[in-house]
This record gives sequence, structure tokens and C-alpha cells, in this order.
Amino acid sequence: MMTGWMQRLFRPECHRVQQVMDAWLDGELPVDQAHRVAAHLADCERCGIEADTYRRVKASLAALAPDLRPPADPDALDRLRRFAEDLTTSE
Amino acid sequence: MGRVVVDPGVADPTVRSDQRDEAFRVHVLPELQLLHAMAMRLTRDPHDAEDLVQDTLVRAYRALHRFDGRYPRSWLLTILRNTNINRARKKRPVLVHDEHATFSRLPGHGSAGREGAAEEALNRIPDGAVLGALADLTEDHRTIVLLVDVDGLAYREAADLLGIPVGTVMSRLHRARSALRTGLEQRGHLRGGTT
Ligand SMILES: [Zn+2]
Repeated sequence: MMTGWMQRLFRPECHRVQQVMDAWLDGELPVDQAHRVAAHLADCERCGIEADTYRRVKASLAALAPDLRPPADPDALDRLRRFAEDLTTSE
Repeated sequence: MGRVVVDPGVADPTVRSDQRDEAFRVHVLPELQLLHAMAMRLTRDPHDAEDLVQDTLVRAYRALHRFDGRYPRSWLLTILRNTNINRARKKRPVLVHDEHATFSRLPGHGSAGREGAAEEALNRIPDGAVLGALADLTEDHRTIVLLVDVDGLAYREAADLLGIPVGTVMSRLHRARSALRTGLEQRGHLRGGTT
């Protein structure tokens, strides 16, 4: 655990963490690796701020999902579901 | 069902149709909504999308005996992509639905309406800035951001849908997010990470 200006130093660990930051954000890291990244982010101000920034962007995009997703069409989905069910019974 | 041996491409209805139907219900039907949404991303057209999903379902049903039951989404998105390539030979392939249609439907309600403690804690960026920065991305960059952050695809699934390696998904995503961040900073957001 470091304090003050030491927290803002770019440590060797920082480089590795930044390389997997996207994968960490997206939940694509194996659990043990994700824990190591989380521990570093809690301890390193510099990487912590970086992670917060990208988390904000990701959260903002997710909140806009209803506007950015292709428009849903329940009728089309119903037709497709029926089509799929017919497939399983016809052959 | 994974151990069943079948002549390639030939459906023998008498022996395994029950198993095949069951596998179809287990692996394919739950992904119908995702398939339709991704077909809309690929075609941008409701009719084309519906046709594409139908063709994909038929192909998936026929190919089920070769599917090992792992990563059904990946498997289905690969079929969707290949089916689309075959269908779209004469048409110009597109990956993202009409961005003008999207961005002209800008929500007028800004930050009102949607809430949530976690979101609030993260101090959401105004919708207009996010949409503007997104619109400024290259099409490849915008697509990968939409697939991962909006549609919630795993890297592997995005890779299968786009027909690119997972490593390319990761590097493209990283560059896209950097560009998005720059765009947001230029719009006066994100600087210092806490504004
Ligand atoms: Zn660090």
C-alpha cells in the first residue's frame, strides 16, 4: 500500500493492467486475473482513474442501449418463433 | 446428441429427429431474439433481417448434428454471418443499421427518466455527447463498440459475427474506445476522469 505521490507513479504492474483493462471492464478475464487487476486498481490512483473513465463511458453507452439497438419488432419475433417451431415438427 | 453420427447434409428423419428437435429447442430457440437483433445490425432492413434469420434457422437445423453443444451463440452467429454473406452477394454488405435513423431519434429527455444508483455513482455523460462522439467514429470502430457495449456480445461472439479473430476484436475495441474518449474530451467531458 502506497500513499501520496507514490500512488501516481507508473509502476511496472501498471503496463500489464492497462493492457487487459478492456477485457477486465468487459468481464472477459479469468477470475484470478480479474482479482489481481481489481486489487491494483484499488491501490493505484493512476490506473484507478483510467478504469473509472472507461467504466463511465461503458455505463453511458449501456444506458443508451434502448436508443442504439436496432428497433425491436415483437411481430417479427413471433413469426420467427413459429417458423422455428415448424422446422422442428415438419421434418 | 453430441455423439450422434449422421451422413453429412442428409437428414435421416426416422432415427434422430427427436434428438435434433430437442437440441434445436435447447440451443437455438433461446437465441432467437439475439439472432434477430444481429440480423438487423447486418442488414439494416426489417424484411431482409427476417429472411436472414429464417435462412439461418434452416441452416442451423440442418447443421445441428455437427454442433458439439458448446458456445451455441458463437455457433449461431457464425452461421448468421455466413448466411448473410451468401444472401448479400449481390447487395452491398452493411454492418450497422442506419446511423442517421438512430441519431435522429435522439432522446429528448436527456438525463431524465433513467436512473439507478450505480449509474448515478458513475456520473453519466450526457446522451448528446455520447451519441455525437459515437457518430464521429469510423464504421468499424462504431460497430465493435455497439456490439460489445450495447448488444452485450462477448469478444468471441463479436469475432464470429464479424468473421475476425478475437485478438482483432480486442485491439479494435481498444482503439475505438480511445477514439471515443478523445471525442468526449473534445466535447468537454471526461477530463480528469471525474468531470
Ligand atoms: Zn497502475
